Amino acid sequence: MSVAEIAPLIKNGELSPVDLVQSSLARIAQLEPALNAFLDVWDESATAAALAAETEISAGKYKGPLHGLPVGLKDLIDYAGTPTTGGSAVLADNIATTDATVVTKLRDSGAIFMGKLNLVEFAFGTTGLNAHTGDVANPWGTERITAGSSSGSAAAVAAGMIPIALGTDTGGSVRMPASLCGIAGLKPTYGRVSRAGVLDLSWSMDHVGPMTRTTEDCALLMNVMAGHDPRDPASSNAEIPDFTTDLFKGLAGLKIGVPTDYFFDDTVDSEVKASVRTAIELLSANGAEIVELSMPWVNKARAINFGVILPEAVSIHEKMISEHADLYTPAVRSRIQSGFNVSGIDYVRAKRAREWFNHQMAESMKQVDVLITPSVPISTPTIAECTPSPGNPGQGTELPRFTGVFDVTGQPSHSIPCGFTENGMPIGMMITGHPFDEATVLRVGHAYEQLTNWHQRPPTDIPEAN
Amino acid sequence: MPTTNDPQHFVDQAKQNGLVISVTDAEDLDGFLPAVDGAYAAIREIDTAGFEPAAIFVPTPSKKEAD
Repeated sequence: MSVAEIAPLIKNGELSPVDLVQSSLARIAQLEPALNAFLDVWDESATAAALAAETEISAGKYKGPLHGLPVGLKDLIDYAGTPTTGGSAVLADNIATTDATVVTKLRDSGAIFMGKLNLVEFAFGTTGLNAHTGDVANPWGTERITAGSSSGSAAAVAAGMIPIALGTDTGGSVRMPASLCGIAGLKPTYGRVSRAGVLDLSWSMDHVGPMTRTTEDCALLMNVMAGHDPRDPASSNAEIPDFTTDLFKGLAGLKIGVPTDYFFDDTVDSEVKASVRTAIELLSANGAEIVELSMPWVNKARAINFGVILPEAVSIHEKMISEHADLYTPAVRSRIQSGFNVSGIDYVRAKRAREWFNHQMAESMKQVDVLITPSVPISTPTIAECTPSPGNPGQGTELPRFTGVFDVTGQPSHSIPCGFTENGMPIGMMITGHPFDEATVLRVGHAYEQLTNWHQRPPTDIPEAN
Repeated sequence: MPTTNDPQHFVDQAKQNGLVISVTDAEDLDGFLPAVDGAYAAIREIDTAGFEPAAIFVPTPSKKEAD
């Protein structure tokens, strides 16, 4: 069930938060460690919090739609008194002393924290694999990757362990796993949601976002997560709307941009292209105007995304990797070390190119309300195909080709399910809007979900834990 | 840039940057360095001449503590 379906039941006393949390814990116990989505499950504290929520609600102190709802945290996000490991042996003893701002906001809204979720080590990777914590299996086909880096977040929501997870997105780490696991994932505008208390990968590209079953749930989460935070120097003062207000306005009057370059070229998987094209036709048939956009410069984004992330990641890891290189997994160690000799001028060139790119995007966006593209260009590879070896990064390097575009620009960008491949793996489409206009992005996503039922199909035949 | 195929040279260059990497680790970078070189080569090809970035520098806000 979605948050929007569960919340009224809790509010009206038809569903106890205690029963909900126990049901969530039972589902986790049923599927773990087969999926390996959770690094730590907080049974006792979650149960205690559920009891407290039940008492509050019974006493008429209902806090809103997240009250009593189970939430999982990607293990880059600080929860005071517990380890924040970043999925790495390097930070095995790193106990958070304060809560991340997003944790404080969710706690104040009555959400119940279920534990920490698996991820790519330090979020520096796209396939979702982690040689230290173990790979996360995709609930739709456990031999296949979830994508990452928010791998555990996506798997846990897709498998019905929890209705809400938080992820982070620097090159697509919310949207890629959301796409491959068949759930909704929103990367808000850069600066919209505080990064305070969240381990950095690349401070100018990092975003924190919700991962849920539906677009409406993402909107409910944004109502709690968004807002200025003096603890985050990049945090925006932009006005915070009610992100649910526009959800039901439909598609009439909206212009949807469809790029003629790059996102639908011959290298993109044919099933992915066909599903997204069909979705665009459906949106058009239901009132949206489709505008084809030529964006011949958009293929530069991949290099800019990587070219900014790499030296920022080296800067962040400089001391730790010089002192504890042996504790990093080989794949992430190599990714970071490969940036050791990037010159200062190349980093400045990348930053300058990013500004140039954002200007091109802003000009193109003048013609439309949102862009629609595939979320990822490939069908879901297997874990074996993506497993790196010394000198071989493995498959899956094409995964962030589309998502990374909108980390460069900082635009709000949302992945939702729009079909399945012949072998039963989810396909995602990406809706991207103007900066600080998450409301229109969510409006389009919700409208599409009212016309289809892809988002309502749960994975079946997930192997249970022994 | 471009990076080098000689691991010892990579190690020495990193040392000049104040960064520590073993020769063994440098040898394992073979599969990663082409992507790094390719990214920055692509960035150098972008013609940004005449383009003025919107945000050149934003001072960190500060104020005198309240008396």
